[in-house]
Amino acid sequence: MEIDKELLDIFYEEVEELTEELESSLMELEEDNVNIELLSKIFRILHTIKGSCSLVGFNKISDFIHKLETIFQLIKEGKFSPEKQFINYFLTAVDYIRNLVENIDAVSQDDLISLLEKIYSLYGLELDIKEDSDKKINHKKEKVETLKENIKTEKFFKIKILPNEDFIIRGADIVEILNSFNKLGKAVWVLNNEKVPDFQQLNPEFIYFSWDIFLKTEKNLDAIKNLLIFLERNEFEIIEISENEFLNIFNQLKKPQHIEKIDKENKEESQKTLKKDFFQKEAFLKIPQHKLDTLLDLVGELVINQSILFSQLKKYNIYETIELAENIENIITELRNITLDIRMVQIGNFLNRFKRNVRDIAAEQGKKIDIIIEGGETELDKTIIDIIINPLTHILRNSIDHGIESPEERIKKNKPEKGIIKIKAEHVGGGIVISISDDGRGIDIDAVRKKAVDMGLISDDYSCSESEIINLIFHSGLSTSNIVSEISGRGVGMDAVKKDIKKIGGDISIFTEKDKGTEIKITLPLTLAIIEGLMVQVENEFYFIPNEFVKHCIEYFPNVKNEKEKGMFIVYRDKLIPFIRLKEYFKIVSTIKKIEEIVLVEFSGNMFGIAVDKIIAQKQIVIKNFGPILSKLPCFSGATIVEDGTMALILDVVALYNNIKAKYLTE
Amino acid sequence: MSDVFIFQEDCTFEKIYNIFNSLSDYIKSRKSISLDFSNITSLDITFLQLICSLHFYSKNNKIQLQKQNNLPEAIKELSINTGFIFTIKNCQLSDTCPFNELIKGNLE
Repeated sequence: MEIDKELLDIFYEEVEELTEELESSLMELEEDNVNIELLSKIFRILHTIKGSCSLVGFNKISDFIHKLETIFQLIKEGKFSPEKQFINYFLTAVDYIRNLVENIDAVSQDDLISLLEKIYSLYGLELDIKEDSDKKINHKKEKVETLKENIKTEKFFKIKILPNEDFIIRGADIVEILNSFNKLGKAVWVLNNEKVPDFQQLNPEFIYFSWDIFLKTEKNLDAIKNLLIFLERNEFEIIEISENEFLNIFNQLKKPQHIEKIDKENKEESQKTLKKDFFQKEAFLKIPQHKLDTLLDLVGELVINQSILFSQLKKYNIYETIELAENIENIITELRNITLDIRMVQIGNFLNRFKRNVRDIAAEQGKKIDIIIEGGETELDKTIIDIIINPLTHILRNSIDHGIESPEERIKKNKPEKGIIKIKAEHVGGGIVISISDDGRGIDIDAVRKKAVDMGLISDDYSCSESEIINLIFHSGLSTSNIVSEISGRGVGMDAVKKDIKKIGGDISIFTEKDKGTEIKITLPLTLAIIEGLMVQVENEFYFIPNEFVKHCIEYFPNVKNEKEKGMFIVYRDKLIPFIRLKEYFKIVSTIKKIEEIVLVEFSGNMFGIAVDKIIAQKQIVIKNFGPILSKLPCFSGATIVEDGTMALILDVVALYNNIKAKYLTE
Repeated sequence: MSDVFIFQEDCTFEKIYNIFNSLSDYIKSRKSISLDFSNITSLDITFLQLICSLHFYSKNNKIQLQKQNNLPEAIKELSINTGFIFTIKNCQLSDTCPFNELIKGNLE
């Protein structure tokens, strides 16, 4: 079967979304296993995935889901309860589906059957396999399919409700019972009052009414009996009737005119609402990400060329067309903003996947953890989200593995048995802050210090603040965990986490308190495509320093003699701050100006200055990434084009700091 | 004694015996019964049954049964939910149920 690539792309995207939704719904079900709406939702998702798989020819997956559907249908009908082990197996099934979508051979047919058998056996059902060329799953003895078929077939019943006199005294609620039949299918009922005595013979606390309920349903007899559990055995009678009998009675029943009128009005109103909703609801299109990237790239080019055109018109005093150019500039700005907005997605969709991680890892370690996600509606560039998924996963694993204590340990510390991990996303300034906090044991600062001394990172008598010690955690190889677990503790993670965050212009900081918990804050730019910062000049070269690092700008009168004798430092708020002169560092042939500008930059508590000839302006620029040949250039994260068409290099402040700290700053 | 029997807010099972007793006193040697349901805010099936029984009594004794003021929503709702205002051929309900008449008269 040949599938259109575009169709396959849509399929992958759709299944990814649906499996995520399925996973989070299953976890909700774990907390609320009688939620009918949730059960229906899960069933719908399963059904949609099955349909999609079938459409693209992934029959191995659709067959597997079909068997899952069968058992889930029974759960939905209330025949079985979705116990914890069932959810565990079902989550494994979701993993299988994901893996199979990636690679159809990723899970063997034997593994699929084995999992299905486990699920079926939870409820005493047997899954017999008939081996054929496709090794399809078949039932021999198991009546599940038959049961499902029976369930699916419409049946017609007359249910007579004949309450005993003490019906009300027993606390039974007839309205509740009658209305519950609507859940099983189409139901109408008739009240019989012929046994009601004359007023003088009446015992007002007794029940003399009886009811005949006529029901059309796909459910079986047991489902009906389940609704009548509060009735004595002699208080009801269930008779299966023919479709004709049902229709005869159903058609004879008529609602009084006023009810029909109300119904008609309601129907018209709901149709109006439906129509209104239909037109008011926004339509959505799925667009491959690479197309959006290209669009943004082209819009970026447009912005640059517009700037060049504008400066040329001004330069040559072509004022007749300046107004037109300004109009075009406004349109382009709007176009750029819309294009950037298209790439923004709600972070909650991605954070929800961590719920499963936390659940599984906590279960493996015998820990009890609740995960709380706040600010899921915060929007962030999809590219940034893709990059931070791994760092976030690592941080969460650390929290579970090292942060949250075992239930026994927590009880000893007078903490609730269940630990809490909170992920919160919020807009702060021009960026996003994602904080991951836990109420665990916190980071053992003494242990970090000892480890750092053992590794030779600091000397035994080195005096530093707690925050400096904590930051050593980002040093490659430093982990204080006694046990190197499969989850974390190898000391390579936080180093990589920081690198990933820094790569996209973000920052990471840690706050910890013994036995209270740890909070890790990740600061991120909103988008990677456009950044704000300072455009600076050194001779004829232009450089760009991203705003998130810029702390302050200082006018500086160089004294070369002093610099040679005492080192390159400036005083900022009573502190000596080291600086580098960009023209010296990049070996630009030039003389030192009488007055320079020093841009003070800061990240993770490290501050240093960058001396330049001139600060041009605060600007918003479109980033042009280096191609593969230039991607290894040290100290630069990309480039941009300035108004006159020349190029400005974007300084990678972190890389610059790492490159110069040994040579310049420590001296 | 007022000519109209006015039901109070709560006409549920807990109060039904008192209502029955009061109503029994009220109907004694009356040629017409006038009921005001408009204050009722809660009721259950026992109340509907009580009125049904009163209706039989009035028919059997040729006593006129009337209602004053409008029927409250609570009565309409319970009547709909329990099947009072559905009719079926060969069913005595439409002829014998006072609420069918009262409600029809009130709502149409």
